[in-house]
Amino acid sequence: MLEIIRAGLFDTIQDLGRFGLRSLGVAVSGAMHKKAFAEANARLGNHPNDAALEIGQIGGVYRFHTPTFFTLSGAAKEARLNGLALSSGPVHRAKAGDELFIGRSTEGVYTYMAVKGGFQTECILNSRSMHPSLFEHPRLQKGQQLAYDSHEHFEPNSFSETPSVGAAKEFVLEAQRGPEFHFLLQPNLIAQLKFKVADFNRMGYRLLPSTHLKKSTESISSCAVFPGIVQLTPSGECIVLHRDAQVSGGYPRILVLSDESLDRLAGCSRDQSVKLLLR
Amino acid sequence: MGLKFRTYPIGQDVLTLEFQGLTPLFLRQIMSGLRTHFGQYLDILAVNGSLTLFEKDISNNQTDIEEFLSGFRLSEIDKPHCWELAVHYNGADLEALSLQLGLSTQQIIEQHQSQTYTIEGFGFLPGFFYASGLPKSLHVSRKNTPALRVPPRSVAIAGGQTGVYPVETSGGWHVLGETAFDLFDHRSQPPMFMNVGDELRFKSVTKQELNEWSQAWMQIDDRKRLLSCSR
Repeated sequence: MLEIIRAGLFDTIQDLGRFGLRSLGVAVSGAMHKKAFAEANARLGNHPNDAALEIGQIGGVYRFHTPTFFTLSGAAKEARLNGLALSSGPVHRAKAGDELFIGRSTEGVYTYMAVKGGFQTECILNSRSMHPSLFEHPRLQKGQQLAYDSHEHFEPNSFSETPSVGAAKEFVLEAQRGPEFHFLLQPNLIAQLKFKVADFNRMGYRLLPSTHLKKSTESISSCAVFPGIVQLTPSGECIVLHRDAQVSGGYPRILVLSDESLDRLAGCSRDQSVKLLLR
Repeated sequence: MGLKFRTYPIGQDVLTLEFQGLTPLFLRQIMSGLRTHFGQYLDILAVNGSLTLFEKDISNNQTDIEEFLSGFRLSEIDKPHCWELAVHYNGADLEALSLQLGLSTQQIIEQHQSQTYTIEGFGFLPGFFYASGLPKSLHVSRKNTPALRVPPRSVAIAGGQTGVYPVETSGGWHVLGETAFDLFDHRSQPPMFMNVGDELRFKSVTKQELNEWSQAWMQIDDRKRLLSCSR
């Protein structure tokens, strides 16, 4: 069991998400950075849907109460086990009583901490992903205990290095035209503009264009939305819906981002500049 | 008569089917037809007279689905299920709404429960349904500033629709009252028995009666029967 000694700024448990229940208004959710999440499970020989701890920009302090093996993937953060910097190599052994400190992201945002066999936390509608509308607390709290099976032996497989999620000064997001693309009065402009990430959470990213986006005065009634949809708001901002997005919305859907671009966006923090590449 | 529709993909894994002039009950027939034909677990969202299908590479099946729809025959024999929800009309927004609409709170309550509504679809939150049929006199746009905290089980209105907040959340609909039932229960299979096309009525009850309904809801096994309209 892992005890939260001090919770990070935005710690949640995530797996691949909740499927098949959009008809009742249930969002998919799941890990923000799917590639980094997949990498963590793969290193430990876990099932791809095994649940991991998703850590936002600032991590916390966590105590292992039973032996296991763990790995960190995604955004780089300072990490110490019992006060000592983690050894190099992708997989680490934790003994009962070991304390893991995770600091602030040096680049990227979301870090995944996976344990061998995954966390066995509360499962709601076939997923452990903590969506705020289904879980009592939208994020992990101090004192909370996350169950996992203990493991004394594990031969790490030779696995590749962490995928790069930061570094680039400008992120390029690949997008396709959405159903309401024609709401843009200067459609060619969208690929030339720079956008700035104004703020973000697990539901979406607000992107501010460097030049005002002129739009049609038409309005639409509610329609289906999903992670990857880019909405154009009445004030001319773009909202990219991310993993915890609702299933329906009332703004024009001008673009759709690929899953890979959603990962890339999940690596962006505030004020990051991004560009859109129309395919 | 054949269906009037157009279909369009949104990316690779999403396909929207837009119909002309179909009632929610007919939409539901098509949903169940699609599931029988293309897979029981096909994820289908009904919004505003359209159906959106979610499945890996579903856009590759666009032609098959169009063919299926062209050959689809609606049946007139389906009867909608009717649910009746007990409501204690003590909502936080009744007074403000009374000023805004120029009706007494009593008139608002009477008019809200005088109608039979139809569930058009789900969205916003798990188990939040959009039910149409609100009398014209109660049509009102959403609040300019959403309330930070709307209690669970709140019965609310906005636009021409009514709905019930399943969990505590922030929200922009005007709250008229409170029902006794947690309609979405993730421990149940399925988590909600109400469906697109179902009919819905509201019945005004006192706080005391609401508590009794609440007790009955907790104790009874057959919750469907508890909420079924007495005809």
